[in-house]
Amino acid sequence: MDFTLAWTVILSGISIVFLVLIILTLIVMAFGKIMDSAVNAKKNNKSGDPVKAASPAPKAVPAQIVEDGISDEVVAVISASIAAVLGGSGFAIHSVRRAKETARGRSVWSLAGMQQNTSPF
Amino acid sequence: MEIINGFVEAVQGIIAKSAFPQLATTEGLLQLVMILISCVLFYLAIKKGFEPLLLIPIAFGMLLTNLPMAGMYHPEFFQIQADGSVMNAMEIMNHGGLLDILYLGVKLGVYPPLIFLGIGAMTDFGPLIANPKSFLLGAAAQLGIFLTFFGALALGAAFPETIGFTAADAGAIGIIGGADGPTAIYVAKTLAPGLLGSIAVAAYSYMALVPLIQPPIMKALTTKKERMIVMEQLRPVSRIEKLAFPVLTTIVVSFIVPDAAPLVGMLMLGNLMKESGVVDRLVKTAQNELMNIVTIFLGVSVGATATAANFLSPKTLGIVVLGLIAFSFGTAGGVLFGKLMCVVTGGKVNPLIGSAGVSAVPMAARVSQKVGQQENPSNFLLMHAMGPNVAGVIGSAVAAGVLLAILK
Repeated sequence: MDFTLAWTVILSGISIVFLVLIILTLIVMAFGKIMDSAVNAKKNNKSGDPVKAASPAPKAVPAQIVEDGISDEVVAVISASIAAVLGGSGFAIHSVRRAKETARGRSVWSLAGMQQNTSPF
Repeated sequence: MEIINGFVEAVQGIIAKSAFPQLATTEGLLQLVMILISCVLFYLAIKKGFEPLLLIPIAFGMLLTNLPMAGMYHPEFFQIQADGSVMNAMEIMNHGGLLDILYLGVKLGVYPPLIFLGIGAMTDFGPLIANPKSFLLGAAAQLGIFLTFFGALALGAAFPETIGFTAADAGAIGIIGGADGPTAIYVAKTLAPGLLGSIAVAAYSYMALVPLIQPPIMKALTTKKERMIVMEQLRPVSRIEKLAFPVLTTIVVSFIVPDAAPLVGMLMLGNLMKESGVVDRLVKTAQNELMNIVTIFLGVSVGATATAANFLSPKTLGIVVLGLIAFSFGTAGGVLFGKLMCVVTGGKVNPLIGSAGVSAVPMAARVSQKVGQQENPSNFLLMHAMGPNVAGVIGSAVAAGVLLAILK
């Protein structure tokens, strides 16, 4: 058995795998720090804005008006969907009611299907 | 009378050309044994659910290649030729069977990177970006690869006549410890083409057995207190970070280990397509149709390399034992490094996430979650374990690049 080759492969293999992943760790950490500081700088700029500082306290959000027959679970799903599309915050849902479907128009599902099939072109 | 003679001659001719006379020879009997082994693999895949997506095509490739007289795969076409070329391209084009043509994708190293493209399109690197220290666990879990390399060389030296693994064979066997099927195939097709079938079957079988192999090792190496550690919630990751990650990783890995570029490059291309959000059609194709087509081609052609002459040898037994050792040491390496990180961070890291550093996405991460919840039902380690899990994919690709660079 060639011990020299065996130890060469083991030592160089383990050290190179660690080296590459340590470099990636440092790069990702540094990038995360840069992103954090950029976001913080943006926030500080916003908080330093005199117009914003003088803005009144946010208005109390009125209670949600939910149409009868729509369960809390459905409201939760709708809220989660809107949050996913809008990026999480900065919106308030005031009411949830069923959309009226016109007799001649397409249903919501039909519209969604048509959009999915045609939008790539 | 003439008609009856003609009929008898025709029947005799068909029987002579059929597979049955072949069964009277030793080669035919060995082929029959291989067909039975493929049936056992069908049972494991269909009844026991062992990685069926790959094991069924692999086992069927094994069945096809061992059909006497069918001649669907010719290993001699893919041996190194007198002029130094890695295969006999003219023979393959002129006289190759279906499986010879499909095997070109393995031999030329096309299928594994395409599978990685699909994996990249399905992977969320967010947990890894949120906690980059997870990379280290992904590196530590590659320990199994290199220890098994040593084990394979030692086994070869102990039984030089029957097993006699070369250094290149040992490298291809060691990569089973990466718990990454495409990577194992990518390395084995270059370093040990004759062992490809056995290595692929061992790699995918053990990947299916991760939920059985890992928990006893994880429990043996950790205390109850360590297993109960609840980790801090991961920070949200910005879109820019997710977009920059695949590009930076490709550049860094490929600059240091160019041999890993095809695997890591395609993995990261798939991921960039997913994170960009502007090529949904390509992402869907990479995740579904392309991945499924390549999986079928890869499985069938890898199974085809398991001819009786290649598979029914003491080497296969050695590979099965070494594969188990590779998985066990990989798991132990990750858990022990997790313990070290636990000590260094003052108890903020649960060592159980270390075992997910062997790739096997997402099975290994689910095992970390399950073992953690056995001690503390309100503990959710899954997303923390996904970090080392996807780091393990990158780690095993880097390890594959290193082995290819040294042993090719």
